[in-house]
Amino acid sequence: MANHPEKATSLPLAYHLLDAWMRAVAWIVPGMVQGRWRAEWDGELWYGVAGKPRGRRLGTAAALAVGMLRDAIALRRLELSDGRRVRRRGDGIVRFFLSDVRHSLRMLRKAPGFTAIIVLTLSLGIGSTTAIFTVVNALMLNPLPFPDADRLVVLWQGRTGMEIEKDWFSPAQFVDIRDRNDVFADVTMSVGGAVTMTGRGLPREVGFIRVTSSFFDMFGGTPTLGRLVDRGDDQDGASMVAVLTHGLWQSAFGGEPDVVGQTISFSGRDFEIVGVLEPDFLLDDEIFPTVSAVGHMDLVLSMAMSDARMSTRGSENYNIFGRLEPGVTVEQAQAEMDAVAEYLSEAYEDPGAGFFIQVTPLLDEVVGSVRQGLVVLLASVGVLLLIACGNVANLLLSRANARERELAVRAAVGAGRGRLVRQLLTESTMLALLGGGVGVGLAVAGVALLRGVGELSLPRLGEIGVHGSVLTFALVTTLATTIVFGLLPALRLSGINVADVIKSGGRGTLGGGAIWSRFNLSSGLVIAEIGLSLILLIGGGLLTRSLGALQQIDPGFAAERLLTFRFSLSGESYAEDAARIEFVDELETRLAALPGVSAVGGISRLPFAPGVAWGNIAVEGYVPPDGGDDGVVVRFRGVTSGYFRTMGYTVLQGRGFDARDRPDGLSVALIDQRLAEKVFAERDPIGGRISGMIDEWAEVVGVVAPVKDGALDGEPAFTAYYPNTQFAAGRMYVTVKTAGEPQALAGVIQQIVAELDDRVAVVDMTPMSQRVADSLAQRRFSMRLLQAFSVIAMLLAAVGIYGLVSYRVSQGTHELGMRMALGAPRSAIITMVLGHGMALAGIGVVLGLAGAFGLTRLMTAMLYDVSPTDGLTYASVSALLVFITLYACFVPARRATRVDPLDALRAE
Amino acid sequence: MRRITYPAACVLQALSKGRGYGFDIMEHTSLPSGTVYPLLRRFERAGLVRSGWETPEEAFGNRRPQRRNYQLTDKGREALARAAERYRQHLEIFDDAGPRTRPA
Repeated sequence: MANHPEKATSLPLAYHLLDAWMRAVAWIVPGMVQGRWRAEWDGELWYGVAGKPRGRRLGTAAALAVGMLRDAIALRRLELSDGRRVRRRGDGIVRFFLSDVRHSLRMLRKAPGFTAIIVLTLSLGIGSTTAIFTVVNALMLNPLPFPDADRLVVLWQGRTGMEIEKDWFSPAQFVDIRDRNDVFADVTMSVGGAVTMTGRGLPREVGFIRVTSSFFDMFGGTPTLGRLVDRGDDQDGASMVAVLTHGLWQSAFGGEPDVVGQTISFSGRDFEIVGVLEPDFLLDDEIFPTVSAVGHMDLVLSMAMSDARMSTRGSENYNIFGRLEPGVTVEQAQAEMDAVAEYLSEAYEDPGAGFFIQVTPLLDEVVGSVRQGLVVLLASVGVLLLIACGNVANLLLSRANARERELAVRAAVGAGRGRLVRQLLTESTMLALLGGGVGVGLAVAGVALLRGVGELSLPRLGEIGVHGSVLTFALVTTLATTIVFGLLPALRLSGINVADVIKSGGRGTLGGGAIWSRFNLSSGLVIAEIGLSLILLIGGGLLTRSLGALQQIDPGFAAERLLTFRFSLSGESYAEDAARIEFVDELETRLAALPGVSAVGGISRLPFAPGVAWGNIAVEGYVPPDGGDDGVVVRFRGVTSGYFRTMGYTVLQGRGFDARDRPDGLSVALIDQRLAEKVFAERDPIGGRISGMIDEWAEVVGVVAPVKDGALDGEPAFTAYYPNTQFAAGRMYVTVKTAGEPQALAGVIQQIVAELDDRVAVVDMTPMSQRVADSLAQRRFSMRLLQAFSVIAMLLAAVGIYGLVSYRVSQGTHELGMRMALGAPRSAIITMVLGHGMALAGIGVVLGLAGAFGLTRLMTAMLYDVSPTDGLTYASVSALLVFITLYACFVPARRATRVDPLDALRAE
Repeated sequence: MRRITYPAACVLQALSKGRGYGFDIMEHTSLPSGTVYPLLRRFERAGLVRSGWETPEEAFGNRRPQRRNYQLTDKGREALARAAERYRQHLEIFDDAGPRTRPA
């Protein structure tokens, strides 16, 4: 600006008049250019008036006075024209907005670190929320892909006091249910199984479901080719026909269009193919949980409702599905089924006392097992999003403080409050959009990751993809976040006294004074972040401890270096027991001869593998405590003599099976120790007799240790083992103990089976250790996600406290410098800064512990052998969090000690 | 600047001749200060000229405050060229004639 010469000559009167006039006119000129305007005229007046010869001064002065006024008015118009043009022109709003956007992008580019942290924070919050919401949406909110899916239910039967809560029905029970209810608009019955398909390349096992025509009435479905099962197929005497699924049609028939009318051979029986099902029809066992536990059905077979079949009470292998009448609730249906169950237990001896029928909505059946885990995860990501928002709000608050002077200057030169608020909102909207954009990208990647990780643990996984509604959710989340964190700094700004801020030289009024003892909104946000992240960390810690405890459980067998697979023997060539026994015997002999194989065994149903086989046994001399004559429900297993050795079972009493147990010899059985204790109590089980699986009495020759059957956290089930020579299973799991890597034998095993019979398919070849690990897949999935969320949350909280403490250190430079100048040692400075951070962390931890104490109870069902208030988890996780926050505070604390007292004071 | 008026063209012309101060322009073009200064403001806003301050040495040597000066930008020279096309005849006359009346 113009500096006056140190010593001016005496000035003419015209100059003084014009100078006074200039000061008067200056008020017309807008504040931001006023100083410059005056300096310019000052220069011109000295030059043009003071420097002129005396006689010409007054005329010149009069002309100049007019010119000055015109100039001031013109400049004012020019300076204010931007705002006015906006209100006049149609495109003004857009132009205004674009200018805001450009300005925002400039501001964000100027602070790349700040922008990156905010975008990262936001995208992590939004991305994980969207990914988890996508899964929840697909699993829990999306209806099943059937007509009126919300009215579909699945029925189960059970008996109180029995360990099995979900059992299948017999056709005669189906008839009773169908004819004795007013609550179902439709009822249908189906049964599933597996057959071996030959004549189409390698033999393969094909899952099938046998249905009546009412199945497709209930579940919809249209044929791609030919027809589906119809009324004619239900008639007594109708021959069994096949409808291929689209998948089987493609994979086995290459999509041949003339497949309808062809004959196909399954397990030695011929079927006419009458149609191909549409590609999208879901036939997974999650929805149709058949008794044979086939994972996916590739084939639909018709089922004639013959009198013989429909009067059967012995074969409890059928699923019953119902569609509620419109307006009927599940509770009403349940009440009616209770009445039917009561009728059945009185009318028939077979179900007996304690028989019940349970009505379950089909969607609950499908996703019920994962619902709690998903709700916990959804809550966790919600918390994560909260932390992310808190962090972003805090960063923006700090920045707004640092920019206070800039904003105050803009307010002083005429920017209205609304204009500044709009500018700040534009900036945070830009950030939110960036964060939202990256977040949606993360969500897409996250869903892909979840599909990979969750393969074994989530039903309906095939349906999961980022949907439109989910994107909407992300958008709403983003906008809500924007408003929350965009408005906070803007609202704070409106309380600022502009003059104070400018006078304070940019240190900011909010940061001034006793900053170290202040607890304001920023402190509150950091405390909340620390508390929330502690809750997540504790949740993750509890799940980790649970999984650790589960992995320590001894299943009762040695799963290491054990390869397992399954095969089925069906068709005419295996109709005789002897043929099946011989096949198994020959297979075991050949496998045992392989180098690197130390033991081989077989069992009709392997622990931790799908499939069910249970029933009642009678025990000679055993009277149930309640005096009834129901016997005991046990799992039935047919095993070969090598099985126990292969699995490392301990025979506690008596002997295992051996060559003495011939098909025509004395019927024998082994029982597990728990069963022995229950039914033989004080008596010696060896020599005792049981019956059930085999009609005649079988003599107990040994007692084995109990083993876990399907879940590590479950109780071992009562189990009765029969020698395969007398059991003659057609469906068998083979267990091969190997010296080296079990999978290395896969090829040889396939070859040996093919040599024995090339119509037999090798299915489900899996190391035993994998089966056990897979049984924990769902828990591991929840644990990993919660761990990931809690670590992200902890990092965000650390960034939050780091940002706040750093900001306060930078704002408190003057105070720190003063203290050091007055002789405060560095350690005192560090203690002061750390103390400030730790006070926040301490409050956060206390609140977080209290929150966790209340909230972790909700996850009790997900925990094993760990209390939801486990002291060790609470203490160790809190210590970890305190350590991390201590480190986050230490970095700015150390920086504080490097403040040069002179610099700090000179800055004043 | 959508259209260059005759006075505007005169001011641009004066600037192109190296008359960089308000009073000099007024003297050169015989335009009053109430015309010259507002034009300079608009030119600056439109990017036709840029302004600066006289060096302190020069100003203080003459025992007066610094004066503000103006220089044509490339855009300003383009505008002048367009205006010159339009006011060719006037400018030729004006160029030869120099200042015709007294300033201010």
